[in-house]
Amino acid sequence: MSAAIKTQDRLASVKQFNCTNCGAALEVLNPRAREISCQYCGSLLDVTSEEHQILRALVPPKKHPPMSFIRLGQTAVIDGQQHQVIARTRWRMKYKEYWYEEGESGYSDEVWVYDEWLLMNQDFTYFYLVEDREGFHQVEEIIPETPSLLPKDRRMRFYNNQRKQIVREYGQASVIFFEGESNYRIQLGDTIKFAMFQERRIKYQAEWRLDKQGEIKEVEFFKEVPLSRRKVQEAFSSNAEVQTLMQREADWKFVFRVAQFTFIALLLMAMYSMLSDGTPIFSQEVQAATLANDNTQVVGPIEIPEKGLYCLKITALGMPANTEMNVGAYILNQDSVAVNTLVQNFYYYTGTDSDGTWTESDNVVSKVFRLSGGGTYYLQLYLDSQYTNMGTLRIELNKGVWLTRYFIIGLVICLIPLMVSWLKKGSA
Amino acid sequence: MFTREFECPSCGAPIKQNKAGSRTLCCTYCGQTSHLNADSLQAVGEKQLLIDYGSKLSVGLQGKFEGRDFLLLGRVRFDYEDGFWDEWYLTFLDDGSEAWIQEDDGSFVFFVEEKKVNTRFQLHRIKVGTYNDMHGEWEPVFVTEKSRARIHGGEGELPFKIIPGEQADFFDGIWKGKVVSVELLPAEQLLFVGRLIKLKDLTLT
Repeated sequence: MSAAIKTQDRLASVKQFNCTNCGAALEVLNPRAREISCQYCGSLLDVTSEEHQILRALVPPKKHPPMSFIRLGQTAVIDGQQHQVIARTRWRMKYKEYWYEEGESGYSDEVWVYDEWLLMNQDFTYFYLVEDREGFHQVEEIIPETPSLLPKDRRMRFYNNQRKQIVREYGQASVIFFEGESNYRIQLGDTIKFAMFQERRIKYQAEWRLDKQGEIKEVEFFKEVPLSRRKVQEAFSSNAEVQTLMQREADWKFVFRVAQFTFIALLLMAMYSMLSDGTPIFSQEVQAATLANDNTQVVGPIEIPEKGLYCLKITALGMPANTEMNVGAYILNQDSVAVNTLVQNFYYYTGTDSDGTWTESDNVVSKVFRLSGGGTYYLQLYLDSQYTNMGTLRIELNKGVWLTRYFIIGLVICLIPLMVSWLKKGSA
Repeated sequence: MFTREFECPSCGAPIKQNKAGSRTLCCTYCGQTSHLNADSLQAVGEKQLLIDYGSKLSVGLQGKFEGRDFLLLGRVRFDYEDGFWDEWYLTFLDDGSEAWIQEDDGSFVFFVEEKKVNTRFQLHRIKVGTYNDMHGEWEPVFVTEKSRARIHGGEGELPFKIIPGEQADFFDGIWKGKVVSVELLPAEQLLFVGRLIKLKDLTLT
């Protein structure tokens, strides 16, 4: 190594100075940087001179906040090497997107926004990370075997072993925001043109820039390989804020899983409770006529083995057409104290109209109730004399029924954490 | 290994030549560029010490690339409108063959000189984004970039004559999945063929 030229190490190459416009402290990590934007006021400053003169005014970062957890200055470990985020360029694409539906195809006009993060490692080489609403991509320059820009037939391939693919997107992208440091002259509105095709999950892209005369100045080719959010988070996990985020997401994931499991369990139990009548312990039929003239009839004894939930079911059978029957029932304990009641108006109507014969009826009622202890119980029935007394009442009592409404309430409660964690997941 | 020592015609510091056939030697102390004529050095152009921007490569460094030992003998820095790039000149120690490593803003291309193109290219006639027929002296190349450039300066020793400040336009392209660079030097037009490499592909010692 020469005596006059000494390799600077990374720390020695860091330049610090204050923003010429607002006085904020700035740090330049890249020894090749020519321009830096102030993170506070958005001024673009000249790095190469001691005066650090203001070159242009950009948009302050708060107008274009990052899409997720990556921030300027954060560190990331990629392929075992420490990197640092030194720049972010936000691009707005106006492009044509290929569509295919039911044998028809074409291109639609679309707009899309993405961030291009520049990470520098200790060897001063770079890693390009593209982030948009759909996730992350690692961008790498490639040298195609069959380079082309945008063929007339809209079919491209870059390698001889590839099949020609339809151009999925083509159009242009313009810089709408920049933060960090740059080796190039940054100008809002700088535009590139591009054409992209996809093979499996990898996007292949030709990009070209035009000069002021509209001639193509430079062409580059890239491939974009998708990176999972988890993998990117792990790369950035040395940053406290990312760790916190990952922990919070893990917590929400846990809540989501528990709520999901509970929801399924409650749903199954609710379905079972709706389908199950429990175990029959008592059944008897009573002629409604015996209850005429406001008479009551005591049914029983009914032996209740233990405390718990029971279901009383009354079915009106053999009602004449176009009649109603109003039945009431008291559940009496052995001291003849009513512990629960049930009242129901049964009806059976039928007739004919232009659509034919119609029938409307309601002849079954059930009620689930809790009994506080076992013993001998009775059922006292009465009939409202204003209505018919023709027919038979079937009395059934079942043990061990489940209260469907509680499960439904549980399902609704479970929906809240499910929705919240789903929304959190969506926003993440 | 071949070595010869000279004195810098400008400051008198010792300058070592490590490869027979080198045409330019640069003083590492004062930055004077000198052409090697027979057994003497002739100072040319302005003194120019290259600022180091943190490259992991340096003149005199040895390393291994694809199992072959190499020695970095020199470098040329070119300026163009988007900044600058360095071309590192190396020799393989097994057979003395030469190659170049282009270092441009964190990316590296390994180049070998393929041929000299005799017919002069007119830079304004070269269309980026199209195939250039290379005047029929070589196979068509898809042109990816062209630019006016000038030689900023050199370091160590180089196989051709350079003068700091001299015009050195270029165009780059792609040929059969390989990178092509054509340097339009005043005295000659050199066509290089190369491929993208990573810094980690070079085992530096």
